[in-house]
Amino acid sequence: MSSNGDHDADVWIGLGMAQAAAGTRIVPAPLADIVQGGRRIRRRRRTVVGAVALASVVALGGGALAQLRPAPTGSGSATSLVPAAAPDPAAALAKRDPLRPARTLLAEGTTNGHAWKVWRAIWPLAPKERAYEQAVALWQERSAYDPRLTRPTEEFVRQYWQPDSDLVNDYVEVDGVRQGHDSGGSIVADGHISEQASRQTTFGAGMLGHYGKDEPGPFFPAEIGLVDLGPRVGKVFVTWSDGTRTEVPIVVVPFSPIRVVALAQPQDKRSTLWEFFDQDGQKMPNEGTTLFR
Amino acid sequence: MGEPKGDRDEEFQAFVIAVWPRLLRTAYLLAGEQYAAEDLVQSAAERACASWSKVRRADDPYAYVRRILVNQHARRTRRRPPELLVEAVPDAAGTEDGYARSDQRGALLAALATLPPRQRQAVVLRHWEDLSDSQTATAMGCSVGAVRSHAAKGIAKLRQVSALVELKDRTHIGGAV
Repeated sequence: MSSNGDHDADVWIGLGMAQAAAGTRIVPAPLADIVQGGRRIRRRRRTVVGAVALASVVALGGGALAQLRPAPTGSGSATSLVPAAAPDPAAALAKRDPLRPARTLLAEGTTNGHAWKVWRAIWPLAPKERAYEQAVALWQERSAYDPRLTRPTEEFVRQYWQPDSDLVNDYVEVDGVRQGHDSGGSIVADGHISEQASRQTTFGAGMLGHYGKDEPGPFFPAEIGLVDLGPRVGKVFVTWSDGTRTEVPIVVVPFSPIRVVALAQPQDKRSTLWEFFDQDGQKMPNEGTTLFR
Repeated sequence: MGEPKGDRDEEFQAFVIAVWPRLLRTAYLLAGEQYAAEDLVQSAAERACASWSKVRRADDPYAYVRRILVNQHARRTRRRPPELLVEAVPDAAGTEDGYARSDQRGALLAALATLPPRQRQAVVLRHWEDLSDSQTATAMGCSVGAVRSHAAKGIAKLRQVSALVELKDRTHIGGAV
């Protein structure tokens, strides 16, 4: 290690730390988040811009939510599955083409006179040789609404390509116009979910467009929360702070094993309990979902 | 300035990909926990991104980001008592096998977690990052004397941890872990 005497005498500490450091799990660097975070910091330094953003946030967040209405499910008057591609044959083709995403309407509503819709686009698993082409196509689509997104590098795509994952892009439309502040990532692809994973209740939950304390939003008329669910989940109930308990509709996303609950956050109450049941009505474990709590 | 923004972004991303594993390991030793380490490195990388034009011109961009990392760690621990990841450090490790080594890893992390943040930083930077006292002082933003003091106190505490006794007899790393 170092050349000074004390340091040499304590070489065991360096060796021990090398062993301890070897236990670190090296996860991929979340480059998109890092770059966005860096730009947020830069923007925050420009205080005038920050003040304007704050004012618009206050204006957007001030009103009460007019509705809390996820997209209707099969029992309702309209179908919750709204793939952008044509029905089955074309959709099946879309599934095979990594440059043709299948889009599903997750939720919609009207808040303060603004109609909003939440969409999930599944970009099908691409073979490694087309992964970069797909990543660029997704970036082109997203960057048209959020110019802060950086173009992916071929090196990055090659390094982190997963042989079992689709790309996923959740985004919001307000009054028919797609907004920035979407989310992008990867998600287990149809036919690639393991038996063990398929028994999982949730695969993550969070607010769409919530980037943390530096830029807390809201970015849309309503704040949107999403919970990704395993394929065995049949019903989801939320108990609210006012004592009411509601079943929240589950959206089955075509060509994806992951189902979704998408909700607008109510302003007058918080969730106190999330409960999950399988298709036989058996209770499934809540793996820590605390959305809207 | 004349460089296209796309090139700068690509350069930054390539830099982050290259240094990410090393930063993550250092953060793991500082934070003692995987998720806290990831959060710490991401936060440091975001700040590096915000100041990339300055970072890239530095003599050693990695050292620059490491200093950001250490500052972030100091900031986060400033108002908190030292973390205790376990209630008690185990008294002794078992036989010299993979499990024992794993115990010692845990014991070392637990022992590091009992050190005050500045002592932990000094020990990690000197003995893991292999920095000299003056380099450590630069990374921690303090004097060389303060580094020596922090490191000496930290190491003295680690020497007293009985679970690390076997480590003290070690002068090399070998065998399967």
